Amino acid sequence: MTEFRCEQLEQALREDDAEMLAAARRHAETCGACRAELEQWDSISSLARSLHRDWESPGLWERIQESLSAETQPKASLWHVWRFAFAAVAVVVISVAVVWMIHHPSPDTAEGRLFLTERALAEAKLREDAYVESIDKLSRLAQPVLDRVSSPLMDSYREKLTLLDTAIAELKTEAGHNTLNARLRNELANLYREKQKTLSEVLAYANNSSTAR
Amino acid sequence: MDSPAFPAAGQDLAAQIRQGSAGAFERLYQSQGARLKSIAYHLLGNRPDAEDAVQETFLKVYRSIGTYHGQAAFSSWVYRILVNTCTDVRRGRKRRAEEPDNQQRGRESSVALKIALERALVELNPKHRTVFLLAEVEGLKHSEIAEILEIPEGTSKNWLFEAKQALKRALARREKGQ
Ligand SMILES: [Zn+2]
Repeated sequence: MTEFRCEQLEQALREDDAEMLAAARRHAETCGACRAELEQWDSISSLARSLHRDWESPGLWERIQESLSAETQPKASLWHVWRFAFAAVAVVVISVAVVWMIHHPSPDTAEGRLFLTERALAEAKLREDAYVESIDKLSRLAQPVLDRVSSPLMDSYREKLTLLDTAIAELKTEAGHNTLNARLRNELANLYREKQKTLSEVLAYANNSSTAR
Repeated sequence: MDSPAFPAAGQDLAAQIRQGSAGAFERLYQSQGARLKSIAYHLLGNRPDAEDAVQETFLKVYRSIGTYHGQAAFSSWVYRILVNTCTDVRRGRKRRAEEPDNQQRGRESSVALKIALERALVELNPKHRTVFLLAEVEGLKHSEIAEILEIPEGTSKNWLFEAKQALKRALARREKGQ
């Protein structure tokens, strides 16, 4: 084995080579300069171990758990929440309609009387603002029917439309802060479509009833 | 392959986490929480930020477990996520390091030295500081550090040497009366 030389110490430390370091330590027994250097090196290492920090973190694991479960169960979108409400109302509407039709059989639709409704529906296919505006128009057409006609079926339609208007207002507020949010825009579009469909049903029902009279 | 950091087989833990086992996350927290916090503390300088970084690390482990295919030890992969999270936090803010405990300052020479070392550590180049923390403070091997930081083992050794040289100089300056 060749003798270890002072100038090799840096290489031994840099390469963290076990064999070279052992040789350096043997050499340091008789070399003050290398011994001092190695002692300094070792003291930094032993001091470093005392830098490990340990402290109690009450609530940290619970926080982690919460964020993990929030991640695994993504928040239901507003549309999903409302869809459940609509489904419930739809069940009522259909049941009431079935009962209503059993007791009030309607004759064939008088086509001529539907022109207002059809025109409103055609307009409702326009996009964006025009679309919303056409739904408002449809709303204005249906409003007298909703105000005038008193029946369990119409009660259900009124309830559904109130629910829809609340949902639309809520989404519009949220979308107001996130104008570029595609998800909100889609949900809003879904709600408008649902409102359009409901209003059409109200108008069709009114036309059927007046033809029946 | 897995370091002593993960006494339970890391690959098994990874597999359980992939299957969505909440218990596996808890075992990860119990076995690694303290060490993860300590590393984050030294990289971020205060406890609240360190705890936030650990929380964020767990979320990232959950979100990206699908990309872990055992190419590195699971422990190295988790530590890598933590170190990267801390790097992002540091980039996103100005340092607000916690002062070393006042009541400890000057009580005895070893404590004073410890505080001096902690301060000198803050002044280090981030990559040197990270290697020093992992190797000397937390006791990881160069092979593990190489995996965590995705650098060759020789680079890990080299950075540790540079870090210790810089710390030695800083402590010597302090001894000369700052
Ligand atoms: Zn020598």
